[in-house]
Amino acid sequence: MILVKLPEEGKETQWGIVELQGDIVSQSGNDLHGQFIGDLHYTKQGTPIFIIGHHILTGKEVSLEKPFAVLERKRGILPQCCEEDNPEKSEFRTEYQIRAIIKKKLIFKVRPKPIISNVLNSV
Amino acid sequence: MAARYCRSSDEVLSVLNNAKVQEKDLTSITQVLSFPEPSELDENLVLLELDNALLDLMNQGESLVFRGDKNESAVMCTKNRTFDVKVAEISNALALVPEILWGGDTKSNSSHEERTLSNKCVAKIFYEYLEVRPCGPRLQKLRSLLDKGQYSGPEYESEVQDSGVKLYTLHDLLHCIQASEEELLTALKENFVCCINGHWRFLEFNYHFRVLSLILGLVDENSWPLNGVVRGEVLETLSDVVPTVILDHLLDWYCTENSDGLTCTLRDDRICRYLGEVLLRPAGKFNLRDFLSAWQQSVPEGMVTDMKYLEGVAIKDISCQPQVVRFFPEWELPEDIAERFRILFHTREKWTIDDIRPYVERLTTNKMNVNALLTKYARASTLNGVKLYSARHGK
Repeated sequence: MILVKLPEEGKETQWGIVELQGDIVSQSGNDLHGQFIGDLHYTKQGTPIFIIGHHILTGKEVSLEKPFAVLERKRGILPQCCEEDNPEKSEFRTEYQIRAIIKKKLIFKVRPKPIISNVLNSV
Repeated sequence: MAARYCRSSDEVLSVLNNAKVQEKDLTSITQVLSFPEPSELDENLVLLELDNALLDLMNQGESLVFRGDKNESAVMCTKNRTFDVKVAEISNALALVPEILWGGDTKSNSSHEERTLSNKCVAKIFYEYLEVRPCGPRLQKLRSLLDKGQYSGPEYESEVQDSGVKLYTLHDLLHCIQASEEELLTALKENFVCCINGHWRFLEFNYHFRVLSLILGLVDENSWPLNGVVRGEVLETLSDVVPTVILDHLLDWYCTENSDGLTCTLRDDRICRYLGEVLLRPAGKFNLRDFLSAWQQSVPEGMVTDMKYLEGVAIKDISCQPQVVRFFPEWELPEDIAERFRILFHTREKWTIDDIRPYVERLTTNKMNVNALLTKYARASTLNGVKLYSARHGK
């Protein structure tokens, strides 16, 4: 039995999803940890523009028809009071805490446009 | 480890320039997205798709509970409903960004503002999420869990204790049974599971019969009408031989309370059903005519037996001569739908809808009623104007 709880009040922060078609892989095949992905802008009309490497993506901000809950698995945290009468049960206790509720996402589903730069001009 | 790459405004502007995007068309905040360092990576995160009704419940402070052993597919329960949990795989990548700014958050009033960079770290990239669909409670284990710890009366309690048989509290059951608390309680009550000293137990069949006989005997002795059973007197007279808690359970099960609050009315359906089972259980098969007359004699005077009371307990077999009635309890059939239909059609080739309904009703869900189940698992045919159901791939 695993319990899912809402976070304590005020702890819930605004999280969001950025949905990309396909996957993000490093060109050099390097480990992605800590790596820069790209710049996310919004036009004044509110259209998100995401620039990844040499690609420019234009997307849309949409409300999710069904919200997502972000669950975080927490093991072994149990209020002391319960452990006394039921030591063997408490060991298996896993709890999910809801870290955030996501109601919106940015979706980038149009084909990325390549950026063709004139190197000389940009210097 | 290399220091984290720190992006400058100049770099952002230069990329925009290359991309031929006019900076003046953009709001003044740029969010710089990066992957987390291994130390920051949150592998323990899972995405769960909710619907707004579930979200409302959670906002009202209700908790969700996942239930299931390692070898069961998980379900998620609210206080009164059960949902099937499935992993949905997607071909897109969902990057989870804490503290993301939406378009509206990046707007500012002044028109000449310096570009500011805001670093955002992706918490995790998902290629799957959990989705939930309403399903019925999964109660198949209930009977087998409770079968061993049956209650046979106070004099056998020390024996039960010595045998080390596990007895279950509601809390224990909620750990093993994939159902919400409300659905579980309903199932316990519908199956006449009694809460005795905090443990939920079946009454042993013969003990149950003995106590019911004592109650019915008292009704007869006092010449009470069927709708005038004096509850207090039953409790008082029988308290020496039967624990009050058991009397209470039986009276609740077999009687409906009258508006005067003192007397109650015996329920024909439950009493006839149980006494019919008493006759059928040891015999298995019974000549229909003999059975009907023995059954009628076994019930209290004034009660009229009717085969409809034996729905899900026994079936009539009118194909043989003489006609017989067979003990065929629904609760002993498997929960697996296909397997259950196999046994049903093995037991009897063709069923009318009224005959088969009690044997499949419990497997229905909101989306799948009896007719839908039959359409899926059986073949319909018409004989002399009566619609009959037989095995899909039968002879």
